[in-house]
Amino acid sequence: MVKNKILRFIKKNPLATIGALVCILFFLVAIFAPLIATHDPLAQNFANRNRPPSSVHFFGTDNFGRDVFSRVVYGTRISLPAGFLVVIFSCIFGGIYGAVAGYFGKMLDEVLMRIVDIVMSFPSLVLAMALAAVFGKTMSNAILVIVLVWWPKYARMMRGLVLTVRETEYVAAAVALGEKKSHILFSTVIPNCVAPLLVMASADLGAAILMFSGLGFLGMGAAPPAPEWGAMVSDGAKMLNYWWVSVFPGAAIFIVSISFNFIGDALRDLLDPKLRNLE
Amino acid sequence: MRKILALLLAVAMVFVLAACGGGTGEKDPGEGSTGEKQVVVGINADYSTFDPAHAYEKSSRMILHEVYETLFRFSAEDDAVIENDLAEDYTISEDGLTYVITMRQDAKAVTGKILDAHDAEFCFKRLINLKGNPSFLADPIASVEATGDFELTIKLKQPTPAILAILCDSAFSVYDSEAAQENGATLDPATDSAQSFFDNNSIGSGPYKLVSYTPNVEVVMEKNEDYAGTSAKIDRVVFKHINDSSMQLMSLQKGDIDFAFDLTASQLETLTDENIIVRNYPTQDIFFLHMNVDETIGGPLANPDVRRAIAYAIDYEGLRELAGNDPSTPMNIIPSGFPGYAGESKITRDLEKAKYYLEKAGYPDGFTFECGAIPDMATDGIAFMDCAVKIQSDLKEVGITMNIQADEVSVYLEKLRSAKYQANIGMWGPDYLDPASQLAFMPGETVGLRSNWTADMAPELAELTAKAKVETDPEKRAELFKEIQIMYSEIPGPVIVFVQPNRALAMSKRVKDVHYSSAYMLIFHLMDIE
Repeated sequence: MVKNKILRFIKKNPLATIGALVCILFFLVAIFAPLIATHDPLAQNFANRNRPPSSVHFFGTDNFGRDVFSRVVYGTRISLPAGFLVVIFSCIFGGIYGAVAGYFGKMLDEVLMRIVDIVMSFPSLVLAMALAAVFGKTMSNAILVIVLVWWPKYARMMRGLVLTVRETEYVAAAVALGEKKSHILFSTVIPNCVAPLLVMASADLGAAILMFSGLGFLGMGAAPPAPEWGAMVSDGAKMLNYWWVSVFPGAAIFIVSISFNFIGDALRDLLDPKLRNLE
Repeated sequence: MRKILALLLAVAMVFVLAACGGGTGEKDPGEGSTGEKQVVVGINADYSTFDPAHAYEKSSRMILHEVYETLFRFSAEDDAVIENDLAEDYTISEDGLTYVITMRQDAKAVTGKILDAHDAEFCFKRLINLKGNPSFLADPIASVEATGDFELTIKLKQPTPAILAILCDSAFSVYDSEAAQENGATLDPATDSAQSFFDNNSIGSGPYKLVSYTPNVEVVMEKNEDYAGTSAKIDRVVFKHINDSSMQLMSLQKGDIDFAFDLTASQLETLTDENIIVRNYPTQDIFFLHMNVDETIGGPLANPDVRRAIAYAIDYEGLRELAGNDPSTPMNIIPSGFPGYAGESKITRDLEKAKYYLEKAGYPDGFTFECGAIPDMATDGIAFMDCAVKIQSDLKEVGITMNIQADEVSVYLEKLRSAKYQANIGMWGPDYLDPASQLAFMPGETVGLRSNWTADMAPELAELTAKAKVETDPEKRAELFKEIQIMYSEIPGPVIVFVQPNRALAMSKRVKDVHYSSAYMLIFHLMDIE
């Protein structure tokens, strides 16, 4: 039965399957990076600068003679966790924030949601750059600033969900039983709103990695010489004659984010009952 | 009603189109509307003002030198030669303290006024009083006075052999003092409000006049028809602010700009366009690792043996290769091309020695420190961040972990000037073409203090510095400067110089008669285009 279901899913969602396989591949690369990389990603070799791809250096070498392939491989250990952390933190903070606003309502709701409106009215990348410039340019700060510009959409979504759930009978029952409001919120309301939030989060993973790389490209992500994909593209963009320096990390960013997008779309189709009924 | 609306809309669209057309029309270099000659320079500019009393950036001199005249100037042909500009003649008193300078009588400012000694007196006094960034250049000057309409008397606090070279600096530009005062210039920093006027206008007698300045966008200067010397051949010069070196490269290849100032070594290496040539010009710049010697900030770096270890751990050859254009590494603070140059650095990479000194200092397993560097910025084709990454990897081999702190220029300068960096990748171009300018690196002087190096931390060196400052005999002076460098390396001082770059300037082939001076960079009034 289960096998049939999986087969049917694959048949119905070929893109999502490819996406999932690619993502799994990247995760394996991240886990086994030291085994896969052919060189030390930070080792410089000045005798070997800017060499094109060859059988020794699959993706060539960069301006410092570092092996681009190994750097791309080790880059998975930066970009993937960064993307996950951004989404997880945004989800937790935005989710609780939105739930509180939606559940307690009235003035609190007004105030909290206007704050959300304010944050959302800034272009997110520009706001992230400004914050990164203020906080200083490190990898953890890059994650932090993306969370700071991302949480509002989770807050909005959660608030909407809570507003619906708040009116259901089981919540009324909990109120009738005399439960504390805060207890009802965390034990009854939020658990019933989590699924759609997770769908949104998984669909956002690709975008989070993309934004993190964007900050890295602008020199606001992980400090050099960390093999961060965005920063590598930026390094390579300074010397377009050596195309391999930027093309391979760029391709890695593209493949990972598009794969996550495929998975996110499929998950939405699968888990969101409203969307499923529409088909 | 609808017809009127339609008409309004149509009129509005015509205006918008006209505006767009005007904007793009100016972009083609060399094709002014009336066939005038135009040169466009692409530069990652560090200038922020064109007030001679405030401007103190390398690139601002390139513009100030064209719009104002100074009493003396460095010859466009040879940096080591000082020639008269506004000055016609001068005499020095026997004690070396009083300079009486006679001025030319034909220097007409763009305002129509003939510039005389009274203007010079006002300009110099304003420079001294405002205490702007370049005001320290005037420190040797005790008093300035117009002792005749065209006779200026400058008295010094102590004999300063470098004073003629100092007077060549654009900070000593002479402008129409009456026009300046009408626009808010005073001799009191509290009331002076002329800076914004100077940013958008020039009131000097140079071969060009400043037409407009839009921060982070462009600076435009046009030919001054009233210039007393040989008139410039290029009618208009536009400096476009392009901070990204790959953008500069693309603009040059497309023909949008004639000069690309900030291409990196790897970009120049692979430049094969037949319309572009690359010329190497010697610079007197030095790139260095700057370490704080205050133990509370510098930590282990305050220990001389640690600095010795780092000096042996750095791969100078690799850094020179990274810099490109076949540069050299001077012994320390005095670059080649100056009298008193002590020759190339004798230190080469030696990991055994580095480890020995680390152990001696009590850090056999190394340590960790923070090093500031400006991201995405290249000077003389050298990206600061690349140097940082290279040194980081060099130091790693002896167990020293260097974390790179990427700071934007403004943050970087603020931290540097208040001596907050534990270490940083620094670059220094001399203030004026005289080795005395490099004495700023000495203990208790400007740059020395940026690493909290006070005079009492190296009293012998401070004493030598004081001697070198006043020695008038050229030979003894050169000897003193050599001694200073040797002592600096023995201590060793807070700065490890790793490269003195050559400046490679990529330019369009249509530009002729290109003169480049270390002091003023490109000399536009001698330039021509095909």
